[in-house]
Amino acid sequence: MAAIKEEGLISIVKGNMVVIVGRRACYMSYVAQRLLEGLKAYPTMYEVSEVFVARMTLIRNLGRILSENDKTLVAPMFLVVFIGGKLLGGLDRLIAIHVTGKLIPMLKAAGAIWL
Amino acid sequence: MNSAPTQVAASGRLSIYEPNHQISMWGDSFKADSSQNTSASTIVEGEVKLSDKLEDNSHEALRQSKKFDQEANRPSDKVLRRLAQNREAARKSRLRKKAYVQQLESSRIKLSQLEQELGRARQQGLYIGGNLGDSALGFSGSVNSGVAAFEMEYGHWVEEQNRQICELRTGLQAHVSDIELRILVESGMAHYDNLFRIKTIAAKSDVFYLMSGMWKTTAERFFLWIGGFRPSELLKLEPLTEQQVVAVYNLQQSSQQAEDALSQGMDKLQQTLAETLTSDPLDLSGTNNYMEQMTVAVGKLEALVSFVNQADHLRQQTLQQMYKILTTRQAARGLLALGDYFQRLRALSSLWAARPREPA
Repeated sequence: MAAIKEEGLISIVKGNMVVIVGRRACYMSYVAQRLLEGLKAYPTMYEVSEVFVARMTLIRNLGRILSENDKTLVAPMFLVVFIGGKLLGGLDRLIAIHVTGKLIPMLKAAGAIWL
Repeated sequence: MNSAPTQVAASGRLSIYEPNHQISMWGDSFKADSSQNTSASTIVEGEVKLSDKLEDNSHEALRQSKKFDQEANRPSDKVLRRLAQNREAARKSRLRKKAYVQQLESSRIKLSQLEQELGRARQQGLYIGGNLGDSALGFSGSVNSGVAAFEMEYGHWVEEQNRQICELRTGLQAHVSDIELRILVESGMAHYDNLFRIKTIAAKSDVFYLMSGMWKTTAERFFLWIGGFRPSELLKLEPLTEQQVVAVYNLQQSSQQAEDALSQGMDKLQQTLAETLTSDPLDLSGTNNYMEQMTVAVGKLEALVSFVNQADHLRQQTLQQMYKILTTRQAARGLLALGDYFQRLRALSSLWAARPREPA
């Protein structure tokens, strides 16, 4: 079932100009959405199930244990923003890119906004 | 029809469904058939009568046994009555004990709940005292230690900030070289980075404390936005060349947009939190619902940590971008103006606290 969900996710990410992948009722996803909508880029919201989140968290934790890399202050995994089919990052990355003025050109290049 | 009641008794509860099923089938095909209706009621009545009869039989047995005893040992009639009364009294006493124990149990649960609430309230009340005094130790260990540590570090931060502002002022007035200014500016920026770093740690320890702004002075608290100053406040403080006007304007726009998005997120959090805690007072499903609601509410509050982190991140990004746009000298002036602004806010708080009050 996870495989099917991932297939759907990939096609959505590739097929839409701006995609926000997040958990249900995540406030950060809402903030990202409002920010992009304020720029007239209307993102596609994709909701991952809690099962998916649990699985991803497990994989990441295992990876951390195996690599003995104890960066405990790691950003939460979701939400993730994709622009033009490419991974951008989390909300802090989105804000950083916007403050440095790179977000709008990126959105224009992806065709999410014009003018 | 006479066999029906015994069938009812033998097959127990399931029997209830069988007659009804048959009846509904009949009902579909023979709706006008009133005789079928009477048969249904007969079966139901038969069941009721049978159960009554069973009860009656048992009572009858009891009465008969009592009667038998009385007839056999007539002289000890009073003894028997006393024994019966004893039994009755014992039974009532057991019931009373059971009720008392149940009451004790529920009181115990209530007590632990109250203790928890009291502990929390003490922490809250402590912050008001903690800002004025150094008595942040004491009540409930671990959370307050995070708060106490932050207050201490923030106190140091403000002292260092004041010192750096003085250095900036003297440096600018003395027209020192750009290189020296650059050093001052960079240490100023690093100092703000320090602030955001200790705030992040404090947010993990107690986000509500951070959000309350109790660690700031009163006038600063007036401008509080998600646990700190508004990023847009950073950008009103600088004279600029023409090229920079555009860049600063864009920065202002972006920062404001991010600020707005975060504010909207906070509004949504408040709204859904209020909805989660609102319950129908006539809801009879009682305690289970309450615990569910509380658990959901606790989950939502955890989002506050993310909000504070993102707000601080925005503050940091805005500062850094400002620094990129400006020349060294402008950045020095900007940092000085910013530091001055907050210093004056703090001074205003002290003046306000010390103002003469009119007698009531």
